[in-house]
Amino acid sequence: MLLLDRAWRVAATGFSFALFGMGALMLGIFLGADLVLVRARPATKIRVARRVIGLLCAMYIRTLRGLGLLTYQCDDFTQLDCRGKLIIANHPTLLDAVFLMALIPNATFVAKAAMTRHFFTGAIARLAGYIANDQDGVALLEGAKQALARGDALVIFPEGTRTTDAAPKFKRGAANIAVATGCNIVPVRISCEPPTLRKNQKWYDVPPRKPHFVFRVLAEITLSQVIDTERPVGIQARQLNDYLQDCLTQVVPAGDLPANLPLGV
Amino acid sequence: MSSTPTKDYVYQHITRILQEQFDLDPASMTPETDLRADLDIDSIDAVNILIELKSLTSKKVAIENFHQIKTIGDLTDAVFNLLNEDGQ
Repeated sequence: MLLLDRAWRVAATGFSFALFGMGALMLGIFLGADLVLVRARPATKIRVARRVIGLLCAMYIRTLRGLGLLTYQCDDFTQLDCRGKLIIANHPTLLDAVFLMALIPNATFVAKAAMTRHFFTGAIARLAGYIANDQDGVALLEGAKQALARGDALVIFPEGTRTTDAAPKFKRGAANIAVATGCNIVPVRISCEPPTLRKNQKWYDVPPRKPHFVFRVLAEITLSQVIDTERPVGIQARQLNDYLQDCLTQVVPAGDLPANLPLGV
Repeated sequence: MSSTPTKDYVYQHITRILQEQFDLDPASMTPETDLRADLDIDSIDAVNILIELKSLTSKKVAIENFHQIKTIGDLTDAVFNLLNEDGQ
C-alpha cells in the first residue's frame, strides 16, 4: 500500500512539474500578448500579471493538495498588511515562492536570475516586474527602493537559493535594502516535514510520506528594535543580516523574536 | 608645495575607513587583503567607501570599475593615481 502511495506521488509530481512549466509558459505568452494588444500601461501590466499569478498559484497549490502531494498551513497571512514592507523567508523547498506568490498580493519578488531567464518562467517573471538577483548590488537596491516606495511588498529569500545541507549563510542584500530604506521587515518562517524538493533533490525523489508545509509569519521588525541605527550603514547591514539569519534559522517558538538580539530587546 | 597625499597616507586612510565603517580589525588588513573574500565587502559597501573617500579630495571619488579592484593595495593605487591626476 505504501509502495502504491509512493508510486502515485511520483507520477503526480511529474504531472505537476509539467503542469507548472506549461502553465507558466502559456501564461507568459498569452497574458503578455493580451497586455500588448490592449496597450496597457507598464504599471497596469505588472498589476494584472501579479494578480493572475497569485490566483493561478493558489489554484496550483490546491491542485497539489487535491492530488495528495502535500498538506499546508498558512493562516497567519489573512490579516497581514505587507504594503511597503520587506518580506524575508527561509527557502527549504522549490514550492516556497509559489506559496508566497499565492499568499502575498502585489509583491515584487527578488527572484533567482535563472528563473527570470528560464524558457518556461522567464516571460511571466519579466511581465510581473520581478527583480533578478544577479543584478549589481546598487541596481538591485534601486529597484527595491522603487518597489517599496510604490507600496509593493518586497519578497526576498536571503539565502539566494534553496537551503542545502550546509549551514545557511544569508546574503546581505535584504539587510542592505532595509537599512537604506528604513522599511519594516516581516520574517516568514517556512518549514516542510518531511523535506521535499530541496536543492539538488530530483523531482521523483519523493519523501516517504506526504509533506506538510507550515508558513509562519513572525513578529514584524522595526530596525531600531534590533540594531543601532546611529552606526555607519555598513555595520548596520551586517548586524541586521546576522539578526535575520538567526531569526529564520534558529529553532525558537513560532511568532517569538529570538533572544540573542544585537541590542537585546 | 604639493598637497597630494603620499601613497602610505592613502593606505592608512582607506584602512581607517574600513575600520570605522565596517568594524574591521586594522591588524587583519594588509595591502594584499582581498576586499571581497577576506573582508566581505560587497558592491553596496563599495559605494559607501567611495563616498567616505570624498574627504581625501574636494570632490566625489569616482572609480569607474570597482569590480576590477581586488585588494586594499589595488584600491590604494587607484585612489592615489586619481589624486595625482587631479593634482596635475
